[in-house]
Amino acid sequence: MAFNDLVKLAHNAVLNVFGVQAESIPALFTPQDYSGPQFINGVISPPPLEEQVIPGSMTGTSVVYFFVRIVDITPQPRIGDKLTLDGVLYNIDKVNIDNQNGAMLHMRKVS
Amino acid sequence: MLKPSLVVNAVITTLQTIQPFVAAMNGAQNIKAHSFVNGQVVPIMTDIYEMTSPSCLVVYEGTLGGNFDGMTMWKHHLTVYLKAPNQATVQAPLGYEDLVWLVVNGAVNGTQLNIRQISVIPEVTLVDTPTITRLTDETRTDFFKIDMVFPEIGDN
Repeated sequence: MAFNDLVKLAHNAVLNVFGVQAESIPALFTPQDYSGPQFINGVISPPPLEEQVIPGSMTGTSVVYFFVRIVDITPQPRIGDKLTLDGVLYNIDKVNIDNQNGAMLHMRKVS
Repeated sequence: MLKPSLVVNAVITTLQTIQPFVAAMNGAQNIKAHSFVNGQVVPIMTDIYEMTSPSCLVVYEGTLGGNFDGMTMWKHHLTVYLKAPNQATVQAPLGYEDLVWLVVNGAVNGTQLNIRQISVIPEVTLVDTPTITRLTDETRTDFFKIDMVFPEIGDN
């Protein structure tokens, strides 16, 4: 099996265990192309600085790093899209895509 | 020496009267101060990092002391930090080029004057010419700060 396929299997396993869907935290992705909002799965990841509330909680941290399998989402998230995590609205400021079809979304809470 | 918190509060109140700036910040409640109260607020570095989009944070940086001239002993240094709105959630958002212009040139208090042309409170004179700097936070997001120095009149 190719390396990328192995990583894909690992990603799926990680998302199934640690993803927001497994935690029952709704992640509503709203792309800027007006194709409509959709629920996606992803893993809340450590940001540069931890904050005093839990990422994805109702109060929400200001900065959230969110790992997704970007090839499983259509349209693919890009800068300028929105994501609502457990009712808290975030702007997607940056999308870092790796070689194994994963991506880290850098998000900042909307005032 | 004048209480620096009075200058901080006056700057916030004045900025909240710049209508286009308030609109760009999505409301006056997003123009606020950092207060150095241990146990009540997070450290300033964290507070800047946690600024939501858009928002404005006014911070007391310190006071310069000296015999600047016959009537000036204290200069209060404040910084206005800006995090811009994002086009994801705002139609036609303003960039930092326009936001900093609104702060230093926007009409305040319903007049035709800007913040550099008024005394924000009677105990300080006109602000020294501000300095505007680009910075980058821990998420590699660009943001700007505007340094403002307010000379105090006499010794209050």
